[in-house]
Formats: sequence, C-alpha cells, structure tokens
Amino acid sequence: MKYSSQTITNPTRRAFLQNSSAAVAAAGLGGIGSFIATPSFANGYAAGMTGGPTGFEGAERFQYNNTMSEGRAIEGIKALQAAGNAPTKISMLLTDGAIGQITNPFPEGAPSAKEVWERETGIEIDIIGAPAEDIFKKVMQDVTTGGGTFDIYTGPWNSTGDLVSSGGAVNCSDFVAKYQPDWGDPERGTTTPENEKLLYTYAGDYYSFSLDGDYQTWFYLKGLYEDPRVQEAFLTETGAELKAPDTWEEVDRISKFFTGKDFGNGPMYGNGNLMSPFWGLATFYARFASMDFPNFFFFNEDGSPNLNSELGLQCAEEHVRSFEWSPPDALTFTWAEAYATMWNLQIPHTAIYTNLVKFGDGFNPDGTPKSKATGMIGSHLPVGRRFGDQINRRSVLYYSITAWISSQSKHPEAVYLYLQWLSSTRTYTWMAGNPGGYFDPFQQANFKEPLVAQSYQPYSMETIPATIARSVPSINFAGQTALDNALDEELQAAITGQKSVRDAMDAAQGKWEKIIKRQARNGIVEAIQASRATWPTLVDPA
Amino acid sequence: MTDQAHTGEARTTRPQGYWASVARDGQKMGFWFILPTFLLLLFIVVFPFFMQLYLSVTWWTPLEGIPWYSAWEVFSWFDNYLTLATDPRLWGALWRTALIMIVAVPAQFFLGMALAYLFIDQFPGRKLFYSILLTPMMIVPAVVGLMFFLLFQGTGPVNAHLGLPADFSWLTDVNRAMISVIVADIWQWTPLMFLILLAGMLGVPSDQLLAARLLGGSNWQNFVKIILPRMKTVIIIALVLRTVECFKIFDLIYIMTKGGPGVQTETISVFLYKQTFGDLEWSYVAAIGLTILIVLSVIAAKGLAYMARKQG
Amino acid sequence: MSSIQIRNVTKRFGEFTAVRDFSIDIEEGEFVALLGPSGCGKTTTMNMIAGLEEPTEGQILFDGQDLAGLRIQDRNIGFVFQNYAIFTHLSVYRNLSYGLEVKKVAKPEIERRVQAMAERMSISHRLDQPASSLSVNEMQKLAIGRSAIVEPRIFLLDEPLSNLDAGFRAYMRAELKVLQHEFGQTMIYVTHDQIEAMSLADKIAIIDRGRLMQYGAPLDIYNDPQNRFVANFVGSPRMNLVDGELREERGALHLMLHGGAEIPLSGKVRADFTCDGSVHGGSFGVRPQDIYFGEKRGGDDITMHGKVEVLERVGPKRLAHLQVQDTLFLAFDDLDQLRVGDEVPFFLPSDKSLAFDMKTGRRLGGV
Repeated sequence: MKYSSQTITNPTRRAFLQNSSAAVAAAGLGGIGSFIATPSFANGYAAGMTGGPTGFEGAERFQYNNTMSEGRAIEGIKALQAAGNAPTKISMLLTDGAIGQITNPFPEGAPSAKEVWERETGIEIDIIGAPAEDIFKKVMQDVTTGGGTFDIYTGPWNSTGDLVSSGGAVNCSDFVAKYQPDWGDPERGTTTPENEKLLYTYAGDYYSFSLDGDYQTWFYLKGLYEDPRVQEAFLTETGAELKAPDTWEEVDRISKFFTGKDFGNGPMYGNGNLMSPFWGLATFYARFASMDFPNFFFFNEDGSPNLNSELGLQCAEEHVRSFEWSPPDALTFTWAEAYATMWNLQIPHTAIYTNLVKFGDGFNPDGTPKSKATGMIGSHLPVGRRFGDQINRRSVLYYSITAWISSQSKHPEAVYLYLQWLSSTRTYTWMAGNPGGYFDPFQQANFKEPLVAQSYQPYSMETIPATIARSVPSINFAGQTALDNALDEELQAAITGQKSVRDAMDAAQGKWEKIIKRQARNGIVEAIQASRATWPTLVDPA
Repeated sequence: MTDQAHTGEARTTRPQGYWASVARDGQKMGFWFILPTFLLLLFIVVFPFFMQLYLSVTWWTPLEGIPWYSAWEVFSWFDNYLTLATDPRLWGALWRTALIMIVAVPAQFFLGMALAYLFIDQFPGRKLFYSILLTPMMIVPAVVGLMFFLLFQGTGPVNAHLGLPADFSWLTDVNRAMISVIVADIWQWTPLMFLILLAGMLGVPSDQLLAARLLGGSNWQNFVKIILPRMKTVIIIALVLRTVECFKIFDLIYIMTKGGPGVQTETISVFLYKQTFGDLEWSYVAAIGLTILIVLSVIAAKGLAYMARKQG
Repeated sequence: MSSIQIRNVTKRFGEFTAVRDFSIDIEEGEFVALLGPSGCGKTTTMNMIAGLEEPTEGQILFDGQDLAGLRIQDRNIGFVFQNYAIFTHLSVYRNLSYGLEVKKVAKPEIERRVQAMAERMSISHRLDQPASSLSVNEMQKLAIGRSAIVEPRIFLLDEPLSNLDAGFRAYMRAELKVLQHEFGQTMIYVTHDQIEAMSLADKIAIIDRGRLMQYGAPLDIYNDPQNRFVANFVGSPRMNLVDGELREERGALHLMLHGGAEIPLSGKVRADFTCDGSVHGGSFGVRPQDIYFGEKRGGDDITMHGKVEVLERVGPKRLAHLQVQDTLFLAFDDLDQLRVGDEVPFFLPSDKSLAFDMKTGRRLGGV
C-alpha cells in the first residue's frame, strides 16, 4: 500500500474517492483544535465589544463593535432587515473541504463562524459543497442556465476574469465604499496595498472576496536534511552541502539526489511539486517567473506571450525533466496526494498550499502525531535564479478560494455584508486557525495570531508572509480558462512524452496568440498590462 | 303532389366556412390535431439546429458576457471549421474512439458468440449461469467505471494477481490506460452481444441442424454454413448497436481516467464534454457537432442506399 | 450399403417404455417399412437406428458392427425428415452439395454429382434457385436427393410422403421404389399408412405400443397375420373380426358371439380353434373380400344369415353391411345382386377364415 496505515489523517483521493478531503476535515481533524481549555473562559463580550465569538480563551481577539469592519457589516444587515430588504437564507457554493472552516466550532467550547453569524443576524447560511477542481464548472453552469441556485459563488481566484466577463458576478465597488471593509488595513490587512487590489478587484472594480491565501510555499523535511547520514551522502554524491535551496538549480539537484534513495522510510522520489493537469500549472508558472531578472513575464507589454521564447523553452525543459524525479502516478495527484507523499516521508520537499502543515504537522487532540512527518517539517523562502549577487526569489498565487456575489442573487447587498463580515480581518483570522478547512492565512493579522501559529507552525509564520511578498499572480483575467487549459494540455503532452518540449511550447504559444487575438476586443491586453504591474520587484541578496 | 311539395321548399343550409369543412373531412381534421405536436417537435429539433449553425460561425462563448443571440458581434466566418479540421486534439480523440471501436466491438462479438454457442443446448445450471452472465450489463456504467478504477490501481487486485509491483500503473500509463478502458468496456458489454447472438442462434431451426449433422457436417462446419448465415440479420443488429454505443463511450472513461493521462484515453465524447463544460468553447463545439452530424448522416444515407439496392 | 441387425432393443424414457424387446434383421438392399399407429414407437426405433437416441437395452448392428459411440456425423446414415428440413437459406445446388462439401470433395466432382442427382430427381432446372422457393413436391425430391448424394449406408425416411397431395404421393411411391432399386440402398421407411407400406416394402415390421407384432413380406402379413392386431391393422377394408366364446354342443363347435349371433365352426377354422385345448374364447376373422353370397361352394364353408343394412360403394364394387343380431359383417357384393333390406344367407370360407385366441390375440393354428 502506498499510503501509510494512518487512516483519517492521510487522505488520498482513492481512499475517499472524492476530490476533496471533506472526510478529513469533518471527521478527524475538524471540530477540536489543539487548544486545551482552561477554566478561565471569556464568557460574554469584552469591554466595548458588541459582537463576535465567545466562550473560549482569547475570544476577545476576534470580537468587534460597529467601528470595525465586521461590526459595520452587522449594522448594515440590521438596517436592511428593518427596511424589509434582507433574506432569511443565503446559499453559498463552496469547495467541499473548506466548509468545515465555517461550520466547525473552533477552538473547543467555541461556536462555529456560522453559528455566530446566525445568532447575530438570524440569517441562515446554507452551504453547498463541490469538488475543488470542478467547482468553477458548477459556477458557470449556474450562470449559463440562469439557475440562480446560489447567492454566493466560490472558486479559484484565477476564474475571476472569466466570471466577471460573463456577467455572473456583482460589482461591489459601491458597497465597498459604503461599508468600508478592512481588507487593506495597513496593520491588519493584506501585506501590501497592491495585494489588496490584486485579491479583491478586477479591472478597477471590486468583485472578489479573498477567503484563502494560496501562495505556493516551500516546505521540506528539515529533519531529514539535518540527518548526518543524509548530509554525508549528499556531499559525497554532489560535492555540495545539503541545505535549504536558493535556486531552481539547487532544487533540481536535491530532487535528483533523493530519487530512488531509501533512508529508512521506503524509496523516495525527489520532485514533490505537483505536475498533474490543472494543479501542476502552478509549479510551471513559479519556475517561469524567475527565468529573467527581476521577472520573466508570461506576456510582454503588448500582450504577446513568451512561451516559446528561449527562456520559456528552457523553463519548459527543466519542468519536463523534473518529472523524472516525480512519484509514479504523479499525474493523477491533486494536492491531497502530494500532501500524503510528504507526510509519508516519500518526498523531500515541495512548494505547495500551506495547509500541508495544518493537516500534517503537529499533534492530534488525543496526543498522536498528525503524520509520520510530524516535527520534521521546515519551510524556506521561495527559490529563484542567481543573477550576479542577487536572487529573484519568486513564487506564485494559484487557485486561492475566492467568493463572488452571484448576479442572480436577489439580495446582493445583504450577501455583500455577509461576505464582508466573513472575510474581514477578525473573523478571517479566527477561521484561519481552524483546522477544519482550507482557508489559509494571508492577512497580517493572521500571522500575528497564536491560534494560527499553532495550526500552521511557527516556521510558516515567517516564510508565508515572505513568500506572499515575492509571489506573482497567475492568470486571472478573462480568457484565463482558455489560456490555462491550452498551456496545461501542451505541458501534459510534453511531460508524457507525446511531443517534444519545443513542439509543445510552440503549440501553446500559437494557441495563446489566438486567444489573445480573440479576446482583444474584451480588453485582454489592458488586463495583461494591469497584471504585469502587480508583479513584485523585490530581490534578495545571493 | 308530394313532388311539388318538395320542390317548393328551400334547401336546408349546411354550415359553411373552412372550419366546417374541417369538421367534415377526416384528413383535414387530422392535420389540425397533429399540428401542435408537430410544431413542438419542430421547435425541439429544428430550432436548436439553426441555433447551432448560427453559433458555429462565431467565436461566442458564455464568457463573452453577451447573450447568445448577439453572437454576430463575434462573427468569425469559418474559423471554427478550419480549426477543427486541423485540431490535433480533436482528431486524436476521433482516432482513439475509432481504436476503441475497432478493438472492443469485435472482441465483445467473438466472446459473445462463443458464449452463446455454449448455451444453445441445455446443461445443468444453465439458467443460473445465464443470469450470472447477464449481470455485467445491468450495472450502471458509472459504477462499472468505479469498479475498474479500483481494480486497476497500482496497488489493486489486478496487479496483485499478475504479480506486478505497485508502481506498474495502468490508469496513469500512457499506453496501458487505453487497455484498461477497453477491458472494462468488453467486460460490461459482452453479455449484450451474448444475449442478442444467442437469440439469433436459437432461431435456427433445430431439424436443419440435425439434417446437417446427419449429412456429415462437423459442429464447426455446421456452425459456419448453417447457423451463421441464418444469423446475418441478428449479427448486423448486434454489431451496429454496439458500434454506435461505443462511439459515444463516456462514463467509463470519465470515471476511470478522466481522459488521461494527458489525453491518452480521451474519446470524442470526453473531449466534447471537456470543451463544453470545462473550456466553455461553445461555438467551437457547435461547429464540431454540426460537422459530425453531417458526416454521419452522409454515411448513414449511403449505407441505407446500399442496403436498399441489395434488397431489390 | 449395409444390413442391419436389431437385437432385443428396448427404449425407456423414464417410466415410459417406448420400444420393448424389438428384434428384426434387415437384409442389405431391402426396403423395410415400420408400420404402426401413431405413438407405437416406430419413430423412436428409427431414431435409434439413426443414432439420434441410444437404446436403453439391446444392440443395433450394421453389417454385424455396433456403431454405438460413433458421432452422428460419422455414421453416414441418410435421413429424410417428415418436414424435409431443407436448408432454406441455401440454393438447391448448395443443398445438394452440402454433404459433399463437408467431406471436402473436389469441386469438379461435386459439380458432376450434383448435376447428376438433380437430373435424376428432375430438379435440374431449379438448381440455382433458393431452396425455399420450391414447391412441396420438389422439396421432397430435394430432401431425398440431398441424402442420397452422399451414398449413405442406409436410408431412413420418416413418413416422407404424408405432406404430399394424393396424386403426387402415388407418383412418389413409384419413384422411391425405382430409386431404391437403382441405388440398391437399404431403406427403412416409417409410416402409419398401410397401403404405402404394402405397396413399397419388401418387408414390413408391424409395431404396436413398442412391440413388434409381425415382421414379414407384405403378402405374408396380409394372408397370414400372426395376431389379431396385425389382422385388424392390415387390409382395406378391414378384416371382419368378431369375438366370442367357444361352446361345444353335441359334437358341434360354435363361437358364441358377444353380439348374440353364433358362428358354427367347421373345417380348417374349427381345427384351428381346437388345436390348443386351453383356448376358450377367440376372435374369428374373415376378409370382406372372402365372404361370398349365392350358393355354398365348399363343404366346410360356414353359412350365416344376415340383413343388408347398408350398401356402400367402394370404387366399382359395393360393400354390404350385414347385420347378424348385434354383429356387423362387411362383405363385398360379388354377385352384385343385393338390395338394402334383403335378408340373405352369406358364406364364410373356412380355409380363408382365421382364428385368434381371445386372451393373447395370437393366431391359432397354422397357415
């Protein structure tokens, strides 16, 4: 058997035959945090606070009054209710594995986020689940059929452009102006003002609500790297010291080294990054972004793609070559399987979603380790390329659960207020600590929160914000579905050996050019330029 | 006297007008009764056809943000048709579909034929085995897909029984994925062939078979010269049925491999599904659909003409 | 071409015994009819000869050789089905050639033999047509030709003429006889029609309820039936068979009929009745053709009196139904003088009358 004997904590798609680890979130991990209750609870609100969770120590950190973003949202709802303009129920389409974030109580003795909202507003939240890969399909089905089943759509942040251009999402700029959410708060909100624009706006208007922070972060088996046996073997074989890598070249060297070796946990495979359809694109984009100094853009300023340029080809060659070091069946992996390979100590490193740590490092409430890798995991900064005495460390923002208001919703303002409440820095920080789902930390307040640190481990609290500051956006403007699919297909063809890398990139380039041409009338070139402007320029010393 | 009385009277008036004539004429009445249903069918069949035609010459997708009838705004002449003529993924999908048809259908046919032959005569337990043999085809294709998905896992029973290591993968291997899909299809549909062919075989008059045996014909000779020729119609039915269904194969593949790895098991249905619901390339799919419809219609027409010629 | 020896064959289907201890010997080249009423076991016997059924007991030998265990295909036995079983999906030619094709005979040879057979069966003009388009009569010929062409060791025919129209039936009877002589085939012919059997067969085996009643040449069977069943079955119109008790009275032997009348026995037939002392009751048999009117001709001939109830036309002759008390005698009006209602004497020739034991049906006395 490939997966370990630990059952619940090591989900694989095959074990549960669903595209998410809902069973994971719901059964073993969700519901109870590692926080051990002490008698001195905070029952009731702290001084001056009018809303928020109660019943556990530290609850006051998440409480609010009407000078704060969440409080304003509640006030707004009450006003709407008085005017008779509020719904009794809001329906929300959400990725299966994230539902627990909202519906599971955290920590022990606390209510769930859903309970708090319903208690304060009386509006029921009805959440409908869907698998992570297919959720945008469901969204588009609702849009094209005019079904109007959901008030709230969620899906990858990448799909924002396509959704907006199809007319399926509500423009929230007016609401934002009216209710002043604290997303961009200089101390509590996104790490930079640019980030706020990136996550919450599209083409200058507000549409999106960020409920996730999928900046691909590097995790590695520090415990293994520091093992003297391993160090020696690495030194002997490669002539270099085994340490956390700074460049892609070093990453590939480590991947190559570990492949086939057995350090007491079974044969290892060096490349832990996702290479499968859809999920593997993030890996490619991340590598691509650092090919040039300080950035290698996917598109030029005039909108022409860079795929089959010399650097693009080189990147593709490296990417395809790294597949040699991937585990078998890697092409069917979602993040769930990739997590499992790290938790089973089969891969040495991976750049992936941060909840790898939440679910796999640390201890269960009953004291058992969450996985074999407990205590062995570490995190390092994104890698890049060395140019002279500088390195352009780059990672990528890919997927990242985002919510939008359906243009078919009958109460957009009330729905807006719910989403403002949910995504503001206090509620979101409280939820980020909850091991019940996928909402990963990305706001400054999240990183300062002990509960979050507990879930994501102290080492992540350093590397994640650093990674965010060095992450480039993957494509999120209209045409994204077509663009990503086109590239994905060609990459898969190259990885499975059906095409040469050159042919694949040429084909992808051709397809991208065609898509740009088609979408030109929709302003894709402007969108490209706007996206380019959000890329970080931060570089580090070598 | 009576004659005079009659000629003096005015003729009784018959109701005049169109509707009156309809009430009198059975054929006319029939037309009007059929009309509503006919219009409904026309709407269901013809309207989408024209809609498809319209969309196929544009670049419209739901992501354009304009309603479909405004698709003229993104008019693209025959661009979609040109694309589909040279789209390697589409042709690959067609080729793979043909491959499955060419391999799976004959395999099912011969297996079904062999099984049917065994079932001509009574033997103890025949009824039981018959029921058992039919079960695969009664299982929902999606469930069959799930079954074989589990069976062909690297760590699954197939590898265990063949003594293969866990990293000998079926579903994610570029060559073997197709094999696993074909095996699943053969497993599921051989019973149908068996059923149809057995019925055909049992329709052969037993005394003719006996006469053939008495004349010295061996079992094989009798099978080829007497049984098979008499089964011609049934054989054609079975083959056509399964070939057409095979063309449409979707559930098995989508569940087992989602068309992967890469596009290695992507058949035309899977391809169209992904294009329609994943890529939302509706106008492109409209063009493809229309093209397939026309090509198949031409083939069917030619086939019918050929058969008509052979009859007369 | 082969001789057949059937030795003590019994066939049981579960509780039911279809054929009981059946034994006959058939010479090479003989035409033998298996004759009997429906359900008597003749078809079962035929099937056993063909190898379609296995005898429960006993043996069937061909030229002294037991073919049990040989597959049907290898027995080389010609079989003509009652419904012909023509290969309706093949042409007439292919039907004829089938037996040769499966033996891998060379094509020119097949061509030659098929043409010859078609010629002989007078269906050459139909060779290329589908067999299903033939008339019933032609199908019959095709069925025979198809079996004959492979020169089987014996030929079995299962009531082959019963589907044909009367005129053609007579023609085919003659044809079959000719064919049989030409081929020199041993033929076994199952029928329930005694006229057919009598006219065609060299020997007839009469079967009743699974048992062989008599086996012999037609004339022997006709003139010398070995038991009451055979006497009753063979002959058209039927033999008069009347049953009664024997009574001796002052030296004269009478047969007291159940119908009330009595027949005074004399001459040969009296001797027949008395030859076995244990016999107390019997059947008296006399053919309608043998009863005569007018003057008594033989001294031992028996005189009876009866009333003419019906005069029936049978071809050129008339058959008189004579009522003697409650017993009916049929007799041909050889003098052609009778009228309905006449009370007339009629005579039973004692040397042509037959005696049968009432209990067993066995023929009493000798030839």
